[in-house]
Amino acid sequence: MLLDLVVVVLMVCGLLLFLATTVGLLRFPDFYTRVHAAGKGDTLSTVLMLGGLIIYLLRDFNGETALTAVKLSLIVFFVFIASPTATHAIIDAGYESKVPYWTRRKGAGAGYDGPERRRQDRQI
Amino acid sequence: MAAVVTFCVMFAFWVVMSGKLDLFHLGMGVMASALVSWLSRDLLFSGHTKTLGGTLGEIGRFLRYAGWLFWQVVLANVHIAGLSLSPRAMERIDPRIIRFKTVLKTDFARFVLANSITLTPGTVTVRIQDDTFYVHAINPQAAGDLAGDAVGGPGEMERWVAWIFEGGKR
Amino acid sequence: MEQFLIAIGVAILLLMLTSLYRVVRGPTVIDRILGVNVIGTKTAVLIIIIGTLSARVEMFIDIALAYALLNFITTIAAARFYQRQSQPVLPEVEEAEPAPSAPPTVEHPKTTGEGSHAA
Repeated sequence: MLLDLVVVVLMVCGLLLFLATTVGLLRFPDFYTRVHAAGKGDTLSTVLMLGGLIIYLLRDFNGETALTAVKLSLIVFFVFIASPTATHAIIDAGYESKVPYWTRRKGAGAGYDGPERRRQDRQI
Repeated sequence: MAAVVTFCVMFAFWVVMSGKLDLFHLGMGVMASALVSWLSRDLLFSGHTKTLGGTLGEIGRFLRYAGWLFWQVVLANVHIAGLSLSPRAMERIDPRIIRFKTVLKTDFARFVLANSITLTPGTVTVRIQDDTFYVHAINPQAAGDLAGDAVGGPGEMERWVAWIFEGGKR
Repeated sequence: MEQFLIAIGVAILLLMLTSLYRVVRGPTVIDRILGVNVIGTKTAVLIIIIGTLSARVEMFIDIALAYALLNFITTIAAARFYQRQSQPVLPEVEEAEPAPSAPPTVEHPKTTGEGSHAA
């Protein structure tokens, strides 16, 4: 019963992150911020979902379910490597083809005194 | 050397994926992994001329880094979820593209740093041009966390990666 | 527990349908590619949930892994294709330090979100 509760909690958290990804994809103002929502929400939500399913499968433990659990963790590992790489490929393609980006500043950083103002060499 | 390590990784992957341990399937696995590791022998560990002990030390340090990185992934997801579900999201984002020069030398270390930047809160790597990283930050807070201290030295994550692969101080 | 898994699957399906808005309407082609990538990740999870429901996970898991791999390769290939197609002729760079092309900074923030760069 306790294991079922853990599974429910994990999968509902994963679903919440999927929801946040979708909402961010729909309402963020430009392409670059949408990439933020899509690229980040993918990793942890997949981990939570598949983690819940692994626990659900391992309730009746035998060799076959153990092998399935290992394969599921391989998918998790793959998502962790592939998701940032795909995000990078997409955002680089958008940047190269000059997709306009949304910014709050009228002039380049005029009147703004944030952390990177003090590092002129590190700022465009 | 690199081809042998690639072969071992490929064959372990084959055994896990097939799940059958009879002679026919194992033989197929040996043939397939030998072919793939011969074709891609200079792909997976290119320019990697370290000793076995050095590689094992790298893996050990990387696992410690992975623990820290996973915590950053959790923070990043919570951050972006809070941002996109917040009713005042448009006031809270202030995107910009920043650039900084890295101290890392090898391609693999730069790849690890780029993926780590993408996984951590509020920043996505746009492009690596020689030793300059172009990073899109969703708000100035995230940009400041990435760029390090006011002196202009490397940030926390860059020091981690340098410590793993190039023996720098963390 | 089975009802719970069905509910999760239906919820993921609804989220995928919602993400489809970005694929259909997305102002640029690259937005559409991004939407397809997000849908693909959800699909891999959905396949495993379906497999768990029909008690054949060991078969569906291979399909899910292949789908995740294909989704990754498709995204990269589509992004590269779009990148090449949108810049048919690369100009010769004569600068001493070739800088990457930056997108134009737009003056009015509110108007740039939708439709300013129809592909």
